Amino acid sequence: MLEMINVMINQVATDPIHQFKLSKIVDWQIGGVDLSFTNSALFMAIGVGLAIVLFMMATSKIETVPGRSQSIAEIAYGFVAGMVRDMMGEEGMRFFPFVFSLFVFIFFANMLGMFPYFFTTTSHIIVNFALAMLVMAIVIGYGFYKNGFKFLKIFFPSGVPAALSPLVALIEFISFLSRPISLSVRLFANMLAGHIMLKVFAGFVFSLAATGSALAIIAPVALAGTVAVVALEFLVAFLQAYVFAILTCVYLNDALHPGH
Amino acid sequence: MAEDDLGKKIAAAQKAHEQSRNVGRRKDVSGRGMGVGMRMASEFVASIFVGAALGWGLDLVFHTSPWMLIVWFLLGFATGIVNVVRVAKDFQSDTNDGQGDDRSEQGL
Repeated sequence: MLEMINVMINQVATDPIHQFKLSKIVDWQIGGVDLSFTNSALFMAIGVGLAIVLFMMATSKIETVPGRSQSIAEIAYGFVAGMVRDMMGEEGMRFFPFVFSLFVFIFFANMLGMFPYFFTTTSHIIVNFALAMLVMAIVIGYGFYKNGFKFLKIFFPSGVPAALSPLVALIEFISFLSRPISLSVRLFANMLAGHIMLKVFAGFVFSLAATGSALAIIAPVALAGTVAVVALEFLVAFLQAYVFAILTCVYLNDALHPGH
Repeated sequence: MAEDDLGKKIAAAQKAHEQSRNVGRRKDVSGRGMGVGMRMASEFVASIFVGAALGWGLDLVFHTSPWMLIVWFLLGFATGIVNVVRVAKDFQSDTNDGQGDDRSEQGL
């Protein structure tokens, strides 16, 4: 019994990164490329499925006075639509489906990660980087499609003296390249750090209690800390989805109105 | 005369209501401060990282090590500062003109 507990403590306390390990559920090798269905892919699929089912339920019977699920869908729509309109104006609403999907996907991935033993998709930087690159591809593609070469004005902001403009253009260029990185690293770092912190704090509870000495008195403090961190993580899970969506709007605005 | 009193009362009540709404909003904005802070930190670091990476890459291509790395690292640093100031400016203008501006609800 004691040995079992010890093994448990060791696993929890010494390996807080184990939760991020990818494992293959179905092994697929197509044309020499590893396309296996992993636990990460599973939770992406669960998130998307959950979102589709919830929104279908919410919109299945639409009433003038909304019920509970319809209100949630309306609040979600209003929240993202307000964000898109504020950042890009009415013509930005053509990007609404994209921003809304992005927000809901990240939000569900983050929230699913809050369940014990669930996998947090967004704790892997490559997933976030793919999403960020999708945003940048749309910004560049739509920017050139709509403005032609005037899109390059984003590197030459108005009101800059001619002598300084090469330097400013270099700085704007680095700034543009750093966008997908800051976008993906922020989401990844928050989810990774939050979940590790949660595991470590929870591990403290066990290892302090198991010492059997006077230190065991502090164990409830660590437990209270864990509860507080869980609350904080719920806030961060929402906040990061929100920040990702709003920055998407800011960047898409550059494609709509370059060089202002 | 009585009507005038009522008008004053309504104006006073509306003002109080407006103020209480603004207080609520200001709180709302500071709650988003965490998001703004993380945005600043990540943008600062990402700019330096990208600048340094570009310099390193150019060094490899043109065999000018370490000059490109030094120059582009400094440029990246400047970009980081520019980005942080930009975020701070947005946040400041949003919190100051809180009245009726919808953007203030977003806090970013």
